[in-house]
Amino acid sequence: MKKILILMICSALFACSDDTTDVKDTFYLRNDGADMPIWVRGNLDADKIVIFFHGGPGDCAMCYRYYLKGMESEVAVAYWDQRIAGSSAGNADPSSLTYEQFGEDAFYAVSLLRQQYPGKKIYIMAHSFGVELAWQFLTTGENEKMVDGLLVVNGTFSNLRWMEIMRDWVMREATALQDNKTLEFVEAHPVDNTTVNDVWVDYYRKMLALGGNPLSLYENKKFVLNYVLFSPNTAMSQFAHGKAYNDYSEKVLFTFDKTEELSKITLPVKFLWGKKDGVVPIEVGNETEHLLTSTTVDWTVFENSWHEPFVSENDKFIEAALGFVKSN
Amino acid sequence: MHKIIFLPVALLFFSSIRAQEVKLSYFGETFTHYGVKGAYSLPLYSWEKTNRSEKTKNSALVFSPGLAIYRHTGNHIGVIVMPEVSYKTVNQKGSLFETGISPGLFRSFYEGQTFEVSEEGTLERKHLAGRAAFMPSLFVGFGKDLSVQKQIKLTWFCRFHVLKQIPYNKSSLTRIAFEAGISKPLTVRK
Repeated sequence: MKKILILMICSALFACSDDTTDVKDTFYLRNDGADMPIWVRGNLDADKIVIFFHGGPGDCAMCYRYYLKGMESEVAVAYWDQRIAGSSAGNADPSSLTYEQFGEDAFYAVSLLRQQYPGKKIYIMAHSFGVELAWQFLTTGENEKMVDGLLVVNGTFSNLRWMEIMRDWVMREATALQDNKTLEFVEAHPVDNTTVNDVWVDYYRKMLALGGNPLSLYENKKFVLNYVLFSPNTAMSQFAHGKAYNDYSEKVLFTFDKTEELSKITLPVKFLWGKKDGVVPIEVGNETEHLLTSTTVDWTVFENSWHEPFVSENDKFIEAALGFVKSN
Repeated sequence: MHKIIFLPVALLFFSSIRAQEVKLSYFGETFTHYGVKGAYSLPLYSWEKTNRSEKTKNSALVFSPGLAIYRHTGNHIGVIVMPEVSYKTVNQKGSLFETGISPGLFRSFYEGQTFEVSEEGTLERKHLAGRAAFMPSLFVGFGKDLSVQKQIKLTWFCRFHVLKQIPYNKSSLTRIAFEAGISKPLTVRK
């Protein structure tokens, strides 16, 4: 009986030691008033870490782990909540919500990973606003040398072009649906440097009304339960961040334009795009590819997806993302 | 000056010692972020009321300084000092209803290594990093005083708290918590 017990204990110990490459680390990065969590989860066997730049701004990273967990069996994923977003705490001032500051935070988030996991390859997976942040980071100084690849998921390089392209999308969809009221609005409201601040919210609403992104994460009850009760997310914080972005929306949003700088990018780039997305239409991706003249872009298009292909076509998304990371 | 403060406190303490209670409870921030809360309960003023159908209700205004500690795994450990003032009523069947408010102080301790960007641009480790904040709260609760019908000197109770962490960045953060526990009256030594 004693021998059986010892055998069981030993097998349990060895079973644990098989998992030595599994990583479950939590870090906090404190910069300019913000305390930003970075959760690193997954497998370090391949010596590769994917840092997720979430969207928004003001969204969360760890909340999407539910959908990105499939990657963790083969690589480690670092879920970083940006300032005044997700579970980030501290006393960060809303005036710090600038692309320069986001870019600086990204620099230190990547630096922290490089310091904690020396020798590991780091890849950025950027979604929506996170793509803007990725371009900001990569086109600043020598930052591009800090990472080994970029995965772009439905995001833009220029917010003015984004809105011009969204107007085209709204016009196209309204024409197809013979929505004359919307077509009249589009005719009466051109988008340019002088009007974009006044009309973008209306275009965004019309895009949603035309089915530009009907997917709601919160329809998945299992996701919601996990998010609120059983994950490291500060669920209620999502209600606290909104007001901080008023100035960003009015004064900062449309200053972002990396049209002239994308030719500097030389690292491998992968586009993962939901084809039916009206939030950041695929035409934005096509334009981005033309601007990336110093590297090649590998595409995976998700025919049945909108703005979050990792939600609507999860298996295909994970396979495509891992394929890129493993081969670069 | 000390006598002026000490005397009423001492009088209050000894005059109402039979009604004082100690409380121990599960304290779950967002229900599942488990923790524990301990409190000491001191009635400030109590009264009895009998209605027309001769049903009696015992009511009291109660001061309960308490301390709650909880763990949000992978996020932080929270410590809340909760000096509660509540209204409590127990009917003749022993059913308890209570509601109250608390100013409060909160301190978080991040559950992860914290690195601060120094003025030189290097990452420096910070130990016991977290944030302090005010945390006013309000709660409603119900329970049963088992001494009324079963002669057991114990009360069980459940409470729902709404807490406001101020500041949280430059805004505030609403938290909710569930508390379930027991309170036991303190007895006088003979």
